[in-house]
Amino acid sequence: MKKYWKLISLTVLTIIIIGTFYIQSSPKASVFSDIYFKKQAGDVKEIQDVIIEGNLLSEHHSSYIAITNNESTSMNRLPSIYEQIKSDTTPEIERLRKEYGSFMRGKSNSGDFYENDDLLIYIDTIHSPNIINGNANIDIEASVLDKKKQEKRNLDIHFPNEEKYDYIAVNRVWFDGEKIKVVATIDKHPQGELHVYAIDWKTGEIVNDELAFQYAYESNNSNQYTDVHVVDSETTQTDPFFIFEKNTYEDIEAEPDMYESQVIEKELMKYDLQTDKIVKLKLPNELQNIDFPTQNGHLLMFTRQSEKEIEIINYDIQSENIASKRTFDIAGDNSEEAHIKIKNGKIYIVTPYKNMNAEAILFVGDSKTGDTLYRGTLEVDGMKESKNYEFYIEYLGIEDE
Amino acid sequence: MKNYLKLVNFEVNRFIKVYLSLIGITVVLQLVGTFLKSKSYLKEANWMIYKEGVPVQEFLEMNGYMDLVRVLGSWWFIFPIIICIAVLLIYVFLIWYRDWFGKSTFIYRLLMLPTARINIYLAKATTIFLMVLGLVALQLVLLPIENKMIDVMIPDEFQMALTSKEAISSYHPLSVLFPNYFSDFLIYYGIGFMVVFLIFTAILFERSFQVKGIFYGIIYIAIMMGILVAPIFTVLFTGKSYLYPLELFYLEIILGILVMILSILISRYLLNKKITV
Repeated sequence: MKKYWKLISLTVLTIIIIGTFYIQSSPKASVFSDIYFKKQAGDVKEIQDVIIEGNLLSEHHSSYIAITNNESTSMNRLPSIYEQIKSDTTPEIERLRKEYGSFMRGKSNSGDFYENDDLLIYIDTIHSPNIINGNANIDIEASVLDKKKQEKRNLDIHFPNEEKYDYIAVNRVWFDGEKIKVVATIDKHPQGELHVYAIDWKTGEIVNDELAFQYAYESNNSNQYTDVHVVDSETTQTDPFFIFEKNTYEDIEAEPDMYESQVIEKELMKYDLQTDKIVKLKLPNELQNIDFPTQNGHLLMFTRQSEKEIEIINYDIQSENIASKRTFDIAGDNSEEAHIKIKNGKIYIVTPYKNMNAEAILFVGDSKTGDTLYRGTLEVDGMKESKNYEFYIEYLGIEDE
Repeated sequence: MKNYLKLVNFEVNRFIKVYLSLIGITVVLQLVGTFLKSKSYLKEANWMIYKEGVPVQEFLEMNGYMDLVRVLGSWWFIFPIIICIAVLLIYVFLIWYRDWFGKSTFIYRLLMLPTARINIYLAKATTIFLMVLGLVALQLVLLPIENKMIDVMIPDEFQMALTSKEAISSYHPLSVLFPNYFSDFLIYYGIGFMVVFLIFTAILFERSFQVKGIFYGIIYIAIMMGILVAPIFTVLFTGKSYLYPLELFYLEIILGILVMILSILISRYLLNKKITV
């Protein structure tokens, strides 16, 4: 034994030191012993899936912090390689992979799908580099799974002019019993196109190609450009239509050599997937200037913030009228815009700033009835260093179960 | 097992003088560097604030706070690390060639030992691993000490309160040497050790077949690398992956372990049948 003392001490010390380094490395926010939500009203259960991220600045320190109901974590570092690989996809696709493992095998995470009790239709876009000319090869693949028979079928689809696309994104997949409708935005520099393809679900043949909208997404000579995006819906699987927002911007010279984009025209369009008809929605004036609504069935939800409250305006697409308005009191002297998320009929609000004097409030309300489901304040405890801290909340997210 | 341990002990002792010098250089240069960096920051602060009359707040806005990251980015800190890496890299080759080209052809005696010859290979590999991890541990001990030095030397109002861990993760090159997560640590150093095995096997190819052996060695490494990257390249070029990402990750780990086992097996064969003195 005596002979080996160098070897033994080198080994033991190394293991202890490296071991200690990794054991004590629970990535808790270091300067602040605790950052958490303090309940004022409602049920803590409502914020179980809420995650808030922001920058905590004090005189001597800055760190990016994530807060959930259970804990606060310093996020100055990247997640581990394992975590990054694990979380490469959305919760929805993760669920499909779990339920239909062999069907989903070989499919990328950038596709979209339609699902009912009998069928699962997955439309996959594959962008692979072309070694010869350096461009991307773009391929679209459609597969259908018969859930009852557990039968898998690949459709051989050839989209027209596929080779000319720079990029393609599938926004929506819908099935009417015979035809698969695929809503896709296509980039053909500097043009963008919104297509709705109708595909025979038995043969994979494209029976119809509707060009819903064509636009220039890059500024032309007149400094104008248009952006089209399909409005997020929580009910994609049942809506026989989709809404898209078309914004035309102009670059305006606000100060010499300082350009700002301004919206000069804004339109919401409804595309009926059964009839291929496009209708422009008549928005009341008060909704004209509100961006990014969320869709749930026939309701479009717009949110508007004033100094003391946040208003959620439910607009009914069918009657083209405002169906209801709910006001949520967030009382605070926050002049900056709050972060708002709407999900599963609930509205989540967090005010964006907190320091010694200003409160940050987390609020969960029922978007239809206006009831308060949860209300709490963000608390920062155990300041080791300075009392002059500032916490800028930059992200509000709702994790899927 | 006992023979293997004896050989490891022997190899460690053979290198211990160089190793202790590496430790010495690192400790001295880094501590002196921390001291000088803190000193020069203080000098600057004194000059600006007391001689030039710059308000403290303005000085901080211009020069920033003093923290460990300033030391980490300096040559005082980086130079010893580079020296250590370079010496160990050279020693990966030297640990074999010194046995052939030493005063007496020592390898002759090693190969004659009444023990399985693969133990020589494993002992040499173990020695390299121990030396690498030992230096990693040394750095992990030094960082908090350097942090404490700054804490003692610099008044609180000029300090950024960073833990050494936070300092590492905010200075990118170091976060490769000291990853934040143990799983990443295993991956990075696992890859490193696999490369050591590959080089060892290539060296044995050269020792077995001389000039032709260099060629064999290079081909061997190329094939092994090819095996490792094949699954990833397939995904990159086709844009499709039959395996789910986590499955691909586990596959790579298994391939890595296979490459190591294969290297050991081939080396055993070379040591037993082909090696020439």
